[in-house]
Amino acid sequence: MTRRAVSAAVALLAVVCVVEMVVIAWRRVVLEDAAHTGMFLAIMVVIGQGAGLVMTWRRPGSRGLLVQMTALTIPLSVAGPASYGLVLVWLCTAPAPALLVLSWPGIAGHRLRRFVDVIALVVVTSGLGFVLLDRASTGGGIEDALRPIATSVPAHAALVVHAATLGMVVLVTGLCAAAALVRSSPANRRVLWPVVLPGVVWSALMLLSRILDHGDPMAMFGKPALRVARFDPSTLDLLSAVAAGALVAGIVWLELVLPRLEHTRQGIETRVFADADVTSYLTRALGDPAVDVRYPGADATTWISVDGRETVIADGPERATTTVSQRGRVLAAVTYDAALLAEPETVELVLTAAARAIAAEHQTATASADVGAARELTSRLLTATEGARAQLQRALRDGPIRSLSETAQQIGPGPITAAVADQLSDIATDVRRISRGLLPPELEHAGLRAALPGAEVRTGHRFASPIEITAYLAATEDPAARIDETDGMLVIQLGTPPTDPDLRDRIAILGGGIAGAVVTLPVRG
Amino acid sequence: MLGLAAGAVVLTAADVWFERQNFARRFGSGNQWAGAEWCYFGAAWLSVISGQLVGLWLWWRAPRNPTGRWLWLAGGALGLFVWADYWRSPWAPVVVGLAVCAIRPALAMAVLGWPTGRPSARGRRWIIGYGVASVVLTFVTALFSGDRTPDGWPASPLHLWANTGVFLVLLGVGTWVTLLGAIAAAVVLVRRRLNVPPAARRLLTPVVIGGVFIAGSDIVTVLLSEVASPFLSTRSGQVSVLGAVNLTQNYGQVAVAAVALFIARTHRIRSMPVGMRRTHLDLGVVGDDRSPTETLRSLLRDPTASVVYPWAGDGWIRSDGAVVAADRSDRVITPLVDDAGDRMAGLDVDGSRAPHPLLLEVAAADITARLSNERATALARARRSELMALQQSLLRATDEARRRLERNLHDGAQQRLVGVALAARLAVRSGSIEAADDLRGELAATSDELVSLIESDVPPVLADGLVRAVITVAATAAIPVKVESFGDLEGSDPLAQAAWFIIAEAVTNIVKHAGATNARIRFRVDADQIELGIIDDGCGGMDETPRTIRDRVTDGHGSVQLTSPAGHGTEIQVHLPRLVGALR
Repeated sequence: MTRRAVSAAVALLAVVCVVEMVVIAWRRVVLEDAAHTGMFLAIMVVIGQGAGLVMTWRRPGSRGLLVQMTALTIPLSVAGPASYGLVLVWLCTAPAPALLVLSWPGIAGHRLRRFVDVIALVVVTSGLGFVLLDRASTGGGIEDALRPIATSVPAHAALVVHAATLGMVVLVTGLCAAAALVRSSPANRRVLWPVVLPGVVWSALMLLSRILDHGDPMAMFGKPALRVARFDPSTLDLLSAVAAGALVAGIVWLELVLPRLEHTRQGIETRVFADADVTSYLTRALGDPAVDVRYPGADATTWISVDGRETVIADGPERATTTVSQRGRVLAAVTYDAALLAEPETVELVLTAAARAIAAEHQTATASADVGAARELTSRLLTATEGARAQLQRALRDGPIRSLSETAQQIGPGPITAAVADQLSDIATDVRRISRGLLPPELEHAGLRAALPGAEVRTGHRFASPIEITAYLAATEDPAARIDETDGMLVIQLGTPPTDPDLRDRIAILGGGIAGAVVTLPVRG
Repeated sequence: MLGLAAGAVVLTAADVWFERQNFARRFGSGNQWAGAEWCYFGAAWLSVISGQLVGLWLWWRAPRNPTGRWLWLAGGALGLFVWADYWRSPWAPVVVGLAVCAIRPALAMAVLGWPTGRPSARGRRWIIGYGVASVVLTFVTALFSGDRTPDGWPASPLHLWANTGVFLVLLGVGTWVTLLGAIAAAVVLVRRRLNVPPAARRLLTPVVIGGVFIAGSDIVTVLLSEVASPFLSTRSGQVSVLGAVNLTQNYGQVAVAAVALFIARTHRIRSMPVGMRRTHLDLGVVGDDRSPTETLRSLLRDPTASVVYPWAGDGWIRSDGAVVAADRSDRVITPLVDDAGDRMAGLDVDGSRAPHPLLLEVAAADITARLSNERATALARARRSELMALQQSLLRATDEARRRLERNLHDGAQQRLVGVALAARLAVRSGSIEAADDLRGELAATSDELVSLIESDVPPVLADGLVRAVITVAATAAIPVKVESFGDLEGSDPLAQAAWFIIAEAVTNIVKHAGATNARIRFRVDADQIELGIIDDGCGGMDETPRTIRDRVTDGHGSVQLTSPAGHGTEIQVHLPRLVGALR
């Protein structure tokens, strides 16, 4: 709030300055050409204030105030010593462009900025001191304030301190800005040059102007100024004002026009984190509240919504559908009011504008559908695993365990009967059947060829356990199965396509495939 | 619709006729503008006709797209303005004011709303506000103009008071409204052009250029006429700088918009009919767009940069769902956070290149509108990878359990039974009576071994402990299920099996019956008990705990507590005492 109030006050001050400039121009205090230029610069001041105000209003911690101060330095270049108020404003705001340049990230380090801040304070204080001392010695009237005539030695000393410290600030700024541009990476230059270039030009012109205009050390002792240049140094003032305007323009471009988000303590804050929702965009664009967008599913016959759920296209005599494709691949189907068929251009314009969003949503829909499929597969696997385990437990309880109990009861006090011995043999066979039904021990010890004596196994290699077990389970579906290893894949040729859903799931999990009666499994699992 | 279009044609024709009359009258009569007259009038006429004709053309080609109507309206308003400007009637200023106020909002609707003709709700509000403010200011200003209007308006009923001070202030406010409106439109268009992905730029570029030109002409006119007009020559009968700018602003804007819209519409993709009520549209290369990662790389000139998304606590994943390695000292990730400070994405860049913070901000703004879908895709891919890993480990555990059981049966119970059967046959032959007792003992031991085999058989899902099993159950649920665990139990722990069963059963019930959108599983393993909490945001209203869960809890000598207010979700709290098993 305080910053905003200060910003508004500075803007008010700028308005006063501009009015002062207009009055000066109106009263023909300065030459007509200068008045024209002054008007041009007044526009820059107004724009700079507006931009600075907007920046501060949007983000009080931003460089808005410095932008406003920089804009304030502009008027004096032309109106110059003609106005006491403008002199005062200029003396106090003179280092603002330098501070603005140095405040830009990547140009100056924290320490250097602190140092320059202190020097800038000296600049402002000495400027203020000069005005007060001068006023005290002359009793008012500033018309000749900046000219090297005798006012008082302290006032002149203050002016010299002002010029010297300002020169130091300007020099440091120019050097820092140039060095930052030179050492920055090409990518970083994109966000540096709008600030650095006008900054360097401004500091060069300011230095030159100070040297040519006020660089005469004799001036402070009341002697005539030395003319070290033939041209009018005020031209440099004007050019430096234009450079300050360019600096403001560069900052405005980077801060207000170029789309960017702001750094906060947690990171970069993004308020809008949503892609254009294709359905709502098309609903608005086509003026049809029932617009429906669907994306192709895993197979060619099904359609899915953006969250990956299977759905159907709402069809009917009053609905029309446009399929959107790219390089032969269908991306989406958009269903809308059939009356729009009479005006294809409406649909074409809107779909062209939404092309990228459709492509992006298609990708999301496909990925979501894949997750859904993977989740279902995992769920099935979980169920199948538990089912097989429960089934095995039931087989053992209802089979060998119960039989053992029954057989034990048949054993009487006398000798063991042959029936009991036969039953025990049967139980042993039963247990053997159950254990072989799980997996043959040969598979673990000797591999596929040993475990599948009836099948044609053309590879003698051993594979990862899940691959071998899956190949074994697939091959047991057909006694005449043929197993071969080609191109890093284990190929199992069956008589008929495998039907067991658990087996099909196993193959899918291992990244294998089923093409008709041929099952392929990746050798590396 | 047909009637409207016919009316529009008639109006356009009338407009052309009026313009022709105007032209003949004015060109012949000669007035203060004499030499420059043909230029102004020709431009106005061209602008009106182009706006009207292109508007009609767009209207006819796409009746449901309001762009054509807006452009036609802008052209018509300009025509009305030009005509009324020379209408010798006290009401002329009213017509002129209304016509002028209609031109800019109509153009804004057409240009800012391109290609749909329907700007966003926010944009629409601003344009309507601007239009209303213009009308109010124009007429209120006119009220105070009296007879001393600067451009010599004839006295009319509108000009009630002659108060130069108020008039000038209101005029100034009106100028600022125009200026700010134009600046806002230009900034919106430039930012839009920068924000729009390259794919859609072709369709937008002509309109953006035209729109910026229109807004620019307003800005330049206002600045020149308000600030610098005393210094610019405006000799009558000649085209001055100010006059040329005025010409563009007053008369050229509609023509520029018409040309821009006409060119832009040619950049759409054509569809072709493929059956009854079916058309096909091939995007070709238009749908191609750089991904956010590619944009980031190009902006930062860092081929290793990528956009990453938050995953599993503090982790990150890439757009393909691959998990980003945590120990990379040379990388810097700048998070993109939402309003609440939650991480939504991150910019993973090479730390040694030290990208400028502003560059990162620009990059973030450039890609932020395209992150949502890629994030959803990345998360889906990562989730799929996670599920696939779970499937693989489940499969491996299942196979391992099967092998183990097979080995145990083969080497244990089966061998023992073969031995017992052989011993029984020998006993039958020998007729020994003592052998019966031994055999009975052997059979009981074999039976016990089989029972113990069954009881010690750990479900494969629990092979890696309770936490992993619960994560698997959560991952396979059709709704998002969050797992919070404190401690873990071995899968062989009976309590782990009981807990897993309760959790699996509860999650199944939530998915099937609760109509929940989110669920949370919380469990804590203490030295003396385990606590389970299964919470959902479903319909609630359960009277009692499901029997299957209750039975399991009773078997484990635990307690269960149900909280299920109707419409406010359900929470099941279970406590199971630890009798066996150890803290992992």
